[in-house]
Amino acid sequence: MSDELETRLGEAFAARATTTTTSPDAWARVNRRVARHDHRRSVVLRSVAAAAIVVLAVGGGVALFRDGGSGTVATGGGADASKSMAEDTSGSAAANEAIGAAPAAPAGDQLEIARDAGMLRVRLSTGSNSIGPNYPGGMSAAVDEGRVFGVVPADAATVRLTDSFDEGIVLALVETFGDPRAPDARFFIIDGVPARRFVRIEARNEAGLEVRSGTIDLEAG
Amino acid sequence: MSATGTTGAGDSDGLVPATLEQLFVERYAAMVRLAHLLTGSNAVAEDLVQDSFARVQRAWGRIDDPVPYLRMTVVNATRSWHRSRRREQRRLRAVGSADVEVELGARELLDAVDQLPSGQRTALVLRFYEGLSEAQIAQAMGCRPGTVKSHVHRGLAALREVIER
Repeated sequence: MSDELETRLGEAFAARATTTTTSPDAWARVNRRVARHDHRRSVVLRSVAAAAIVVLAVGGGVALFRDGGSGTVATGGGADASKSMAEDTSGSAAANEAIGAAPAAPAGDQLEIARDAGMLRVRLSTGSNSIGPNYPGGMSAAVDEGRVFGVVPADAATVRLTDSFDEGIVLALVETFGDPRAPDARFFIIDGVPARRFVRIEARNEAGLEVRSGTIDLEAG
Repeated sequence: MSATGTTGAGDSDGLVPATLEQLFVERYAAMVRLAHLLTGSNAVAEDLVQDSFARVQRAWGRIDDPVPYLRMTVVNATRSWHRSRRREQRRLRAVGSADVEVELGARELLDAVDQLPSGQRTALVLRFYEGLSEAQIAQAMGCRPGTVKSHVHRGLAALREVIER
């Protein structure tokens, strides 16, 4: 019975596949999509370079951002597992102030990066949330208006968002991007965060090996 | 993400496409067929696969073998599409836009497959159409081989229930 069903299944799939057609201009469409993404990425990088960041020395530290709400991340695994990764940055470092919006509102995302006593602070300007401080090699993320953005270790090439209860359900898979102001970290942005509370974030290196993982509560504020 | 999965059915068979265009020539139609099986819509399949090729282009310098990486990207794209387009999917099925040329028995089986949870449907297509091994399916779906085995087992059990009614 099982073999018969499997055979029928294969035949049914093959039957549907024979009805598949492809567009004659498919390759042109692929090239247009590639060009569109390249244009969007160059806009983001120009915006980051143009961001006005005013550095104030405060007892050897750097005050830069007003903290907003952020999702907490509790992680496991990796060499730094002994350090607590559950960071609630809301309301912390009250001395920090948002200083200087970009001279002109950029199209797309604006990533603001700064250091505070060697720790990284990051804010994505399309929302009000910020994340940090983030220690080198660590991972943290924030949720704002349906998007998750975060910081992962420098050797992370991709970030995968999975259902926290069934890691077999991959919700999103995105590439990370870097910024010369933070060579010890990489960043990611995931839009269209699915409607669920807990998701698992896995950062993987170019070999596909996990370098960091953790669970985020999308409803934490 | 590394794409150095085991070679075999459905993979590069030792010859890695050197350019995106070469990958396109070799794999575009096959990926559209795969996405068509996973979504039930030819038009959606082409759209998702074209997006997937653009994603592969962005990762090109970091992957060893783009073929399994492309397959994984297409699988993820169809999964995302299902999550965000459930209503539209029901509408497409209702008007019978898919499978009008497929004989009745196969169409009923395909309808039952389309009702399965995404993981089970994907595992069955990759197993019984693409002919992939458990390890290859696990790589494409981004899950463990044990999860693949479970998806296939449950999917077949659910289909058996439908056809025995």
